[in-house]
This record gives sequence, structure tokens and C-alpha cells, in this order.
Amino acid sequence: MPIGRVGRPGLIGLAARTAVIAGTAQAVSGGMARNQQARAQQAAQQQEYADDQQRAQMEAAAQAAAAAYPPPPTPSPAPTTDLIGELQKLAALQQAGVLTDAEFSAAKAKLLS
Amino acid sequence: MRSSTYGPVELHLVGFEGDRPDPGALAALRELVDSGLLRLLDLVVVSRSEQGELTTQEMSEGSQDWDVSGLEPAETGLAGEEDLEELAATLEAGTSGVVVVFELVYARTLAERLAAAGATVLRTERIPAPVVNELLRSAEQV
Repeated sequence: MPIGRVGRPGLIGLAARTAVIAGTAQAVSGGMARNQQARAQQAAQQQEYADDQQRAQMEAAAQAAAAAYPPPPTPSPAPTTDLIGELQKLAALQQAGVLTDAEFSAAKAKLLS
Repeated sequence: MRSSTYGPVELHLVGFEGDRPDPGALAALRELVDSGLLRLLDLVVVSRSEQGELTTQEMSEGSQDWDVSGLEPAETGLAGEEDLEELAATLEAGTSGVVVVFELVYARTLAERLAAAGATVLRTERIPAPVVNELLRSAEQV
């Protein structure tokens, strides 16, 4: 079964990376492994680069879409205080005579504004 | 895993005129293989067009035109695309060459004999012939 000429390290390059010729078996297989490793790393980097590009494209598309369709106005934040609770407190204060009718009305108007 | 293990391997790019290997060049290669000193592992024809484009052709594809009898590569494909490109880098436009890959059988035999005797080849260096000859020539002149 002939081996393929393409897509593998050449003899010359492999030998150049293997300085000592005698007892090469380990060194050569190491060279092959390093070559494969380097290729795998390269492939991973290319994939990463492609991913980055894809991400950048998606972000650009998202920005373009955002520019074309302005976002809806942000809804006003929900009232932080419990309105009914406050009114009940005011009513209780009025009934207890702490607040006059005028003060109660003013406070209630402010609360509801 | 492969059942056979090889000794050291050499790659040669042999240039030739025209678009096919010279019969004399193939005969020379065949002689060496027959001697048992070398084992042919891979054989590929590389051509560079006038426009500088490199093409490769498997020996099996051209065997009807070339006399490649007695030249059956044991490991077709051993010379990778990377090797072919590197070797053919010096190939001029409009010329061709054959990439020959062979095992140095004598080196493997030697290593086996040494191992059997408890010795090990720790390191080998191959010096191109021009370097050796130039060194000897300049040493003589001193």
C-alpha cells in the first residue's frame, strides 16, 4: 500500500528537525507527533479565529438592527413604595387626629401625583 | 506497523534533457540496484514548465514510454510533496528531473553487524563530494 505524498511532513524537513541520525526511531516519531500537534493547534486557532469573526459579524448585525429599530422606551420603574399601605397609614394618622383634614388631603395628593 | 525496517535513505534529483529520463540514466540506476548496495524506494519525475509551474508524474504512469523494468520502487510515495518541492526548487524552467529515493542497504547491513558485535552507530555525517575534494585540494597546496 503506497503512502500518500500529500498532507504529511517531508523526509527532508523531518530529518532537519532530527539532528542526530542514529537511534532516530523515537525522535522521528516525536517529530511526527509534534507536527501533528502543531497542525491541530493551528486548526484550533483557525477555528477560534472563525468563531471570533462569526461573533463579530453577529454583533455587527445586532448593532445594525438596533440602529434600524430604536428600542422601545424603557418602562418607568415600578413604584418602590406600597401606595395603598401609605394611604392606609395616612388615613390612620388622620383618624388618630395626628393629621388635620387639610394635611391629609395634601399628603394624599402628593402620594398620588 | 510496517513489517520491514529500513536503513538510511538518500534523495537525489537527477536532471535530464527533454521531458523523459534518459535510458542511460535509468540503466545506471538499475545497475546499482542490481548490485544490492542500494534498494530503490521511490521514483518520481518532476518537470518545470516554461511558465515555472511544477508538475510531478509517477513512474508507473509513464512506464509505457520508459524502460523501468527492474526498477520497482518498494515504497512509492515515500518522497512527500514537501520533499519534491524542495528538491525541485533549483529545477530550471523548461527542464525535468527524476527524484530517486533509495535505501543505503550497505549502511543498514553495517549497522546490523555492528549491533551484533555490541557496537552502535552513534552518529553519521554526510559530506557532499565537492566539499571533500575542495578540502583535500586546498590541503595539498599548503
